[in-house]
Amino acid sequence: MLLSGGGLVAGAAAASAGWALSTRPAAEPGPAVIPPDDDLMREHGVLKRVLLCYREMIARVQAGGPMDAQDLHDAALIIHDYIEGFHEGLEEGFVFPRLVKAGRLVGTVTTLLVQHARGRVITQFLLRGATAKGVASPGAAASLAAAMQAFDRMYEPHEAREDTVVFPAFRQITPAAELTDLGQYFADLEHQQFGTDEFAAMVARVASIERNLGIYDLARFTPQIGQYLPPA
Amino acid sequence: MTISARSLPRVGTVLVTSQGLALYVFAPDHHRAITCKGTCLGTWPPLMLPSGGRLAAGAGVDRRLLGSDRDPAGGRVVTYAGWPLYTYTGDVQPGQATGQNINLNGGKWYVIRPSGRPLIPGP
Repeated sequence: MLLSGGGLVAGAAAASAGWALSTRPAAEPGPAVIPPDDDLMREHGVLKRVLLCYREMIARVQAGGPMDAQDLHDAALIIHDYIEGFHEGLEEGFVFPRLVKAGRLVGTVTTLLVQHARGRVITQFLLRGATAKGVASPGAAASLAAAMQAFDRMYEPHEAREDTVVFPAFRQITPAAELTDLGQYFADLEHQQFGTDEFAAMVARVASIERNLGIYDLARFTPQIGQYLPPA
Repeated sequence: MTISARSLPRVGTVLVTSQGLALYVFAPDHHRAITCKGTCLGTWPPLMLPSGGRLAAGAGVDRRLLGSDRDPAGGRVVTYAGWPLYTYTGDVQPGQATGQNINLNGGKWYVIRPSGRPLIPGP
């Protein structure tokens, strides 16, 4: 079903025809298949941006400010639908089992699975609390902020470990042709679940929350460096 | 393959696999067919009946409620009282039921009692 080998055939054909490429006009760029580990890492980019939204909401509550229920709901829903309901399913169905079968990073994979499960519980807590009534009292807002803090604290090292250790190991043990087929399969699944241009749509959703929170402008995070300059 | 009943923390007596892993039902399956597809299957692997395998009821399990249903992806999924059964990747060791009452992949997930009733919490 999945690993038909079509990618291998296509790859071999392209390689054998490579000599002719320089003598022909450049082909129009077509839609390229994103390697599965690259695909998972760009999804981590969406996760990271939601973590930053959570961080901003936490800071506001800790400063005695209000929490916007709609922003919290929108952010938690991206995590619920896209990260927990899709991205983690890819990891659990296609990445982790291959590593375990190869005897690689078994303890790490177990920890990652436990963290996925804990994260889902926290997200459902956030979604339940993300109502006008749910964020109204300082106590309730503080409780939601603590949950977001726990989520951030867990997922920052979680995704960093996956990007730097787990995905490289996955790439190392997976044959090239299988990686190509998996990349296409991941893209097909994403298309089935979210429709066309789903990644851009998710980025737009998180950008909208960032704008509401006033953290969209990247330049806002550039520090002043006068005090760090070396002596002239 | 033996389906057993076992008392687990927080949820009481529920169905478990031969390895002691909690078994779940997916509310959108509506007592009938497997509807968990795509990445859902990565998180909630269905309990597949091995080719030529036979189902056995452990202590406390009603043999008459055990069955199997065709999986659109191939093979047969074990059912209980008509519910396709799944395990959860979040349960990393026997005796856990960390997926109970989780809303994920389009619906709620519940452990199931030996009576065939999912454990649906009250309002």
